[in-house]
Amino acid sequence: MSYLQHLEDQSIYIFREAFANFKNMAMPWSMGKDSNTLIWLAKKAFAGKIPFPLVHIDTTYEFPEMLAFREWARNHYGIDLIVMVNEEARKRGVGYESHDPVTVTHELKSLALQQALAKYKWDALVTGIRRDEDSTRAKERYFSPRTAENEWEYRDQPPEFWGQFTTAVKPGEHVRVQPLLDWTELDVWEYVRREGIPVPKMYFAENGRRYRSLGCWPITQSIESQVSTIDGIVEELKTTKTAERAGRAQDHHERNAMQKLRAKGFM
Amino acid sequence: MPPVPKPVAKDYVPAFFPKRQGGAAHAGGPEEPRTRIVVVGHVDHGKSTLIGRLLADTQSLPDGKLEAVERACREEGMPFEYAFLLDALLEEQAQNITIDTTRIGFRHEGQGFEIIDAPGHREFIKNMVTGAAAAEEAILLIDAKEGLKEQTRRHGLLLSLLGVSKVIVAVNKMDLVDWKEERFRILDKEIREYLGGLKISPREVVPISAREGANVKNSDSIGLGWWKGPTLLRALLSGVGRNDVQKEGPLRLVVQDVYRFDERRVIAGKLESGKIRVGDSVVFFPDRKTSKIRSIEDWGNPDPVQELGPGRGVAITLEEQIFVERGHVGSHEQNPPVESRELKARIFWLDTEPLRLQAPVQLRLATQSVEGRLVSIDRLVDADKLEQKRWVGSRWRRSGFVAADPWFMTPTIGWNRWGGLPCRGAPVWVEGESFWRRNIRPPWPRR
Ligand SMILES: Nc1nc2c(ncn2[C@@H]2O[C@H](COP(=O)(O)OP(=O)(O)OP(=O)(O)O)[C@@H](O)[C@H]2O)c(=O)[nH]1
Ligand SMILES: [Mg+2]
Repeated sequence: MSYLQHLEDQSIYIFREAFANFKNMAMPWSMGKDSNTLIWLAKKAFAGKIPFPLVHIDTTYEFPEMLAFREWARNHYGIDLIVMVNEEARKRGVGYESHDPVTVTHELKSLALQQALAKYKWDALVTGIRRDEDSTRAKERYFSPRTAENEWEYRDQPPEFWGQFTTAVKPGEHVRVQPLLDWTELDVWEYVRREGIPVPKMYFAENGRRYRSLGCWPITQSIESQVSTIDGIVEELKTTKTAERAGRAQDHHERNAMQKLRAKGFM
Repeated sequence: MPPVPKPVAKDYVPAFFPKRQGGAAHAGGPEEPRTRIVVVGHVDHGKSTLIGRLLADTQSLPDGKLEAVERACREEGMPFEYAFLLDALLEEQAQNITIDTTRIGFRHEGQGFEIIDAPGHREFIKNMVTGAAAAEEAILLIDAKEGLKEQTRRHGLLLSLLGVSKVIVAVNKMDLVDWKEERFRILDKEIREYLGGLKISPREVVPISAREGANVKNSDSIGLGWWKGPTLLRALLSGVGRNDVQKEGPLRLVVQDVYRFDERRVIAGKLESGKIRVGDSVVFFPDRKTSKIRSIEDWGNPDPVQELGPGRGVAITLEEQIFVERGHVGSHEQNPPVESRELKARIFWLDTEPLRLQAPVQLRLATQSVEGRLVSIDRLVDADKLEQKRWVGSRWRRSGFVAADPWFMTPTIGWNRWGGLPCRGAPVWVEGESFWRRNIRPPWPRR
């Protein structure tokens, strides 16, 4: 069995364990490559029907193509989609024009998610994070509990092994279910290629630049690249020395920015 | 602020490409599994430093990573620490200690690895177990100056309980003992004796200095000039090979769930061992009802699937509408699983509360879950001293029969306090090799 097949089977197992154990789950969805891989895996896990809603946390700084992709995918996959905006923070004037990226990310992403959690009372959220993205994610569990305050208690994570997961939560708490934890960026692209998963065009070069990781447009940099095919992306990733999230400003705003963001509920 | 991005066309369609048939092989994808290696040993003996070194020396770090570590060390007022590449939490860097396991991949000479950094501090043993249980191989690290310590022994014991029997020993910080061969030989003998008592025969015992980068990737002709054996990386590379060979064995289909999202009734699960084919008769335990497989569902695949092998996730529909639910185990009629009420296991108790006889706990085997009680403890072992090299042994009685036999690919029994929260500091057990063959339900079919 190929390694990619092993990853797919493992992710499907995780999806099903989550659905069997939680009563009210949802899947945040950002329209990026990992998110689209998740949809694909969920379709396979549940024999064609995704039995929970997808949630787009709309920061109001989304690339136009991402919004277009969202509407296209809503139709194409027949998904039940909830869109959340932290209206309260936007009214207060929180935005990249006036605030630093860590604050804006926290307010418009983590707090918006927290508002959605309070409203819909989800007990599990499926996320597309991977260990190779950054060094705090490298310490994550497949089933990772969050407190009622949406906080990650990284100093005291539950043990987890042999396919047995943390599946009980107290009221108000939830578990992050992370089926892609073992995947690398290269694995995701090889899988996208193997399966023919539709993704936004922004990943492919136009005028010598392409995006490797997609976020809010004011703080997301494209990279120099001539790559305009899926084979090209796979080849480029095999040799690149640039970190995947190098173009994401909130990660590098200060030392351990990711730890601070993630401890407070960022994915 | 950069300029506002341009709008897209109304009739937007995303990037599409044809599905590659034939899987990863045809798409040039990674065929080979990554070898997962856990680095264990006593606190401060240099585990994280070694992994940082391996990543740096094999050029596996992205641009800017070493510079970021340099800055962090300066802020903490320390000389350069390779360990900071792994110990990324502020709390870890401030105390120069690993709190939780990190898993990180690298490739060298065409071989993929995933290195798991385990914490050495006693307090974080549950994190160490979480890391080590995922590994196929281990590097046990010993500080040349300090020698074997409490966690060196405990981690060795845990490796053997977890079934990680491929072990390389690295005697680290050779620079602190003047690179002396005699010191290395003494530790070599001592660790081989200790591991021998655990039925582990180390594949290799190598001297290194992780901080100086001696004999990690590059051999060292000055201090370790006397060493004729391999570098640590060479030892790792020479040992790779598949050791998680999928069991062909009899069919053990563990049921995760039953879906009725449309007119189909889909049974979803995983093949712990064996194969299924459309048309096969499958018996589901414990109910012992039989049905033929009508179809194997594979979303997105235009060609109907006829057969699936071990390790695969499955979704099937049945000819007969028999009752099946999560926790059931499917097998062929010829090779049914052993069902028993009692089992014997070697356990390692991770909870802060002591484990008591007759206290109810939840036992889990794959997706089966029953209440169980510890009925007797045969032997105890002091993990610090490993006195008499005896195994922890205990017997468990369960409320119901559970299909449990060696054909389960994953040694999947876990437990949590019954009714309690399985989240924090919950006990977990480490599997025993032999199932207790008493109190077994008469085999199927009854004659
Ligand atoms: N002299 C010398 N010091 C070393 C060597 N390897 C590691 N150290 C130092 O030993 C200290 C502990 O190293 P770590 O890598 O953090 O140890 P660890 O085993 O990961 O510790 P825990 O994860 O907390 O159990 C650091 O200050 C390292 O610089 C070595 O080969 N020689
Ligand atoms: Mg460490």
